[in-house]
Amino acid sequence: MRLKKFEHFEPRTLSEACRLLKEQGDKAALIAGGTDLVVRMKYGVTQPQCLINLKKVEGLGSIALVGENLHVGALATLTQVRCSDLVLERCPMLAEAALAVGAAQLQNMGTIGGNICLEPRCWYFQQGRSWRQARPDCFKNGGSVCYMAKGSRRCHALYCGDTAAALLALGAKVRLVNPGGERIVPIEEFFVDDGMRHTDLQPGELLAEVILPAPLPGQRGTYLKYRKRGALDFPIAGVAAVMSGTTAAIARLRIAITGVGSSPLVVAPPPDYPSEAGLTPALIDLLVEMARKQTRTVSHMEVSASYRKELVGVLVRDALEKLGGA
Amino acid sequence: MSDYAVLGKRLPRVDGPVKAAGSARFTDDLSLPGMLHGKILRSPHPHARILRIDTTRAEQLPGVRAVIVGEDFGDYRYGLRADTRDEYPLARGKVRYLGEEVAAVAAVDEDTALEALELIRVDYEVLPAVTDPEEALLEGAPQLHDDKPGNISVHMKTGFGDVDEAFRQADYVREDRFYSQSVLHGFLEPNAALAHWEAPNRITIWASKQSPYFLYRNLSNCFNVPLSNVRLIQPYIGGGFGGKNGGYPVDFCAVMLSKKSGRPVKIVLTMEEVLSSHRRRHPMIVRLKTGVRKDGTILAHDCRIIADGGAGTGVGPSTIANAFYFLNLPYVVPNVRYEAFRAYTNRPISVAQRGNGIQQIRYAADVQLEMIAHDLGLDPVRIRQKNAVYTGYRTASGMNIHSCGLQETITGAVRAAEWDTHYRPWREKENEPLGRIATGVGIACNSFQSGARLTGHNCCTAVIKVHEDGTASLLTGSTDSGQGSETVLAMIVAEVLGIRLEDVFVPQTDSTVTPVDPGSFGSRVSSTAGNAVLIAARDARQQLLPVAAELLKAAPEAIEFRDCKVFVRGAPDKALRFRDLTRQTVAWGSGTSIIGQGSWGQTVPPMNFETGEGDASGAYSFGTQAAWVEVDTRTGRVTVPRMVVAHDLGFALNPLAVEGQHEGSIAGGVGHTIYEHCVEENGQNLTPNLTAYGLPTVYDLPREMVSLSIETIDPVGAFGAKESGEGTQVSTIPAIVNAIHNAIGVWITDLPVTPEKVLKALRDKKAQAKATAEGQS
Repeated sequence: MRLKKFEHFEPRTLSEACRLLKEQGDKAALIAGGTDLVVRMKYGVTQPQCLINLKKVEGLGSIALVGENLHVGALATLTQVRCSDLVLERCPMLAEAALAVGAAQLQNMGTIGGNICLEPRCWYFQQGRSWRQARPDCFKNGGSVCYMAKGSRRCHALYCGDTAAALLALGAKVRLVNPGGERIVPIEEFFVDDGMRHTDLQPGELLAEVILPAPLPGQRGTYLKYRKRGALDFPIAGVAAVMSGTTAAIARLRIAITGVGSSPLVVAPPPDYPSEAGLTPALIDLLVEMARKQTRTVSHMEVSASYRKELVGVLVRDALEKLGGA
Repeated sequence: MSDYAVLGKRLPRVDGPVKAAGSARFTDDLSLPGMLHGKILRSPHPHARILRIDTTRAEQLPGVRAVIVGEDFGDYRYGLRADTRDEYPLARGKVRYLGEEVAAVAAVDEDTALEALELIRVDYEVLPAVTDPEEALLEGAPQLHDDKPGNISVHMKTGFGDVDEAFRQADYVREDRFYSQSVLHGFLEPNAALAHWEAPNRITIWASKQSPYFLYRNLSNCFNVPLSNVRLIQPYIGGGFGGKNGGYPVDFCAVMLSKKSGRPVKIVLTMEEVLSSHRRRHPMIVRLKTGVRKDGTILAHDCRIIADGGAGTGVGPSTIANAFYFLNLPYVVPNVRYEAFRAYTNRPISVAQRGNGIQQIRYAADVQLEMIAHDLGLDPVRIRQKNAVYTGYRTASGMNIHSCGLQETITGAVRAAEWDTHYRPWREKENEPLGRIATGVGIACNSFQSGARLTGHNCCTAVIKVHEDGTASLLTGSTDSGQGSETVLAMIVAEVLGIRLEDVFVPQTDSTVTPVDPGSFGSRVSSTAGNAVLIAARDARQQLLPVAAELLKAAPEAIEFRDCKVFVRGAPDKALRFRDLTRQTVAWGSGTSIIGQGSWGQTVPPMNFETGEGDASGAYSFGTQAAWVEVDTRTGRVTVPRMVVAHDLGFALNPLAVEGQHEGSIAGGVGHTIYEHCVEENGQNLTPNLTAYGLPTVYDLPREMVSLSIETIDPVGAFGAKESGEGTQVSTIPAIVNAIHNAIGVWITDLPVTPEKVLKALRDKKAQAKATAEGQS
């Protein structure tokens, strides 16, 4: 489980980091907290020849208001995020999601940028070298088979980032920086449903920060995570829901789900739903059904696809009932 | 019994501070000048013939000092008994499980050793594998060992009484199948060894062993050196639970690599190697048929077991015999029939794990008793009270109970669990709609051997050196693998000599210095080694007495040792300090060194593995556990918010240590019942890391754990003590499974209790109820 030799860069600015990333291309990996990358490097499933360490990039970990929006730098640790007064005041569910990641030690090291970009996982991919030698490589390790869905022509590794669900439900945007400039995109456009390449990051591009819009009047949200144990584990399913409105009527309602496919997914009520009636049992039933239908998942380890769908339904219902004050 | 000065007190463990501070040194913390690092190459196939191993390129890699393969060990095989020696230090001819050790390398650093492993070329001819024990026993199944036809590693068939007649007499008979899955020991310190071979034939090895003297004998045989030349030193151990008893490839390889390279060699397994290839608990299929009278009195058990032994026998014969012994306890079973097959499969080797075969059988038997109580409308507490064994009872198979507080443990557990307030039979609840969270309570009883009777070496010996300043050293070969025995044995010395716990030092086990000992397994240390220590301490005191009598001008019989003083009973001012006595003793007459010695073996004849007749131990512990469960009826998740352990341990030598054992039992039992499972595919373990394997965290354990000690003062154990380390984990599983039935009305007969299984069982039950209702309408 020893690491292969690699070069180590410590850029001071984002543009320097991007330039390095572009120059080094596929040979490079970005490292921030390292809680995901170093494990993969020890397993030998990711073998970068150089690491670009973002720790020294000035200001990349700041959490600050810019006008109405809350900007959370990619390098902010999950502990910083969940303890930030600004986060707790404006979108406490993001703190809830950060608190749901791994355990305290991982939250101290891991960053929000790293959690958003978390490599999709599966127990056939994330194994040591000698383990993997016992069977042909899967897609993710350069082979041509997916052990999660035998016969499949694509990789079905599961995206398991907790904070992504909260950010999707909150309608966050991400600022992506590249050597030529930058772009700001809604976070749902950032994710790609592909276990091999699950973000839209282009060569030389990196995630600099997430931008959270000002909370709407009466906004409330929650993140519910179902995992095997009370700590450490990745979600078997995670559901974030955000609702706003100062009267019984719903101004905005959005649900996001993580842990069930190669990318997180968004469930929103149909355009013509009767928002003035509020969060009625009928609407909850409808959204539960929509969430279950949209969840297209595969069996993994001892969790069957149908059980995972079932869980999504339960979590969506619980989240909505919690928001509705039931 | 309350007049003990040291015993019975809640004293913190003597090894607590160094472990808490992180300064306790484990095997991996040690190094020697010139030390090399070893790594092991493992089989990528569950079953294959080794055609050729080419180590040339590995040997040529700069920094590599030795490469070894199976042939280096000649024909040496090891195992529990002469007829079960089926394990090689490194594979010979065939590999029989994925992860089996094939070759090993020693190099100047770990990186070089790892690189060298990749340069070893092994040509295999892949053979069909069998990973299911039932399939392994079928005709035509792939065969693992040429000399063990039919893949039968152990077969035991026995019976006592007239089972058929009992079934004819029975008012009610039921038969069920139970399955207990593959779980791991879960120790946090991986297996490790640091070995130093000194030519021509001297071995020094530091190894993580809960029973070091197995390896001491193994090494003597393997390397053909006298036992006096095998020095095995035992550093602190990061848990064992049965997975660090014997010698393993890591130990043999470290010695052989040292012999070949002429340098000390350390091998520390990775957690991945431990979890995927090291030993584990026997998975078992238990088919149990039980006949009762309509009042719940058990008349007979007929039990058939198929145990998955993996690729070797290990301590399998004892596992299979234990399952039989504890089919007979803790309830009165007048007639019993038993047949067990331990099958070879292409899986890592199954061995003892905290309970060694007894969890599996008691899970089946105690859940089935609950089923019977439910079927017959009997109260679960009363059916256990009715069948409970008692002092003076002798099982049909000839086990003799000399002390038994089972009834008291039932009463105690029921009271602590507020059973009467919380328990409502499922029958009363079954027509009520299930809420989102359904709650239930369950109870189960246990029994265990207090020091397993062995066929071979049973005896524990203790040597106590009394220093002139009034302190003492206790030399014992009984190893503290984390259970706290070092503290408890030191307390016995302190009690007898009338000194303080901190005045007694227990050095690490060192086979050159400490007396030979069977080891820490079968719940033997406090009771068996405890007696040896008690005798040794009395011997030391006896040697001090004449001097004390002379100095105090009193009769030796009138002298007491207590509070670091020696005084005349009834005249406490006729006293002298213990250290003054010891100092004067050194100079007394021609001068005397006080060295007390004591040995204690077994009070019962050797066990019979063939028939299971006779005693499995000189004493038996008894206990009862009660569990609360909450079942989320929408997700199927089961949590255990509260659990009670009431245990007849004879006498609580250190109640604080007992509580630790009880809490550990709950943790282990909850893990086995709900969380842990080696998930495998074609003989490959998919859970070789602690994230995937899923040991419960502190969040997953009961928020409230109640520990009750029932003291019956056993006639055999030291100060009346019996075991309290393994028996307590025997009934954790059935207590939880019974509570689940009480909460939602389904029986889980297939472990672990995964949420998905619970949900499916709930669905099936609903569908069945609907079908029944439709059939009736």
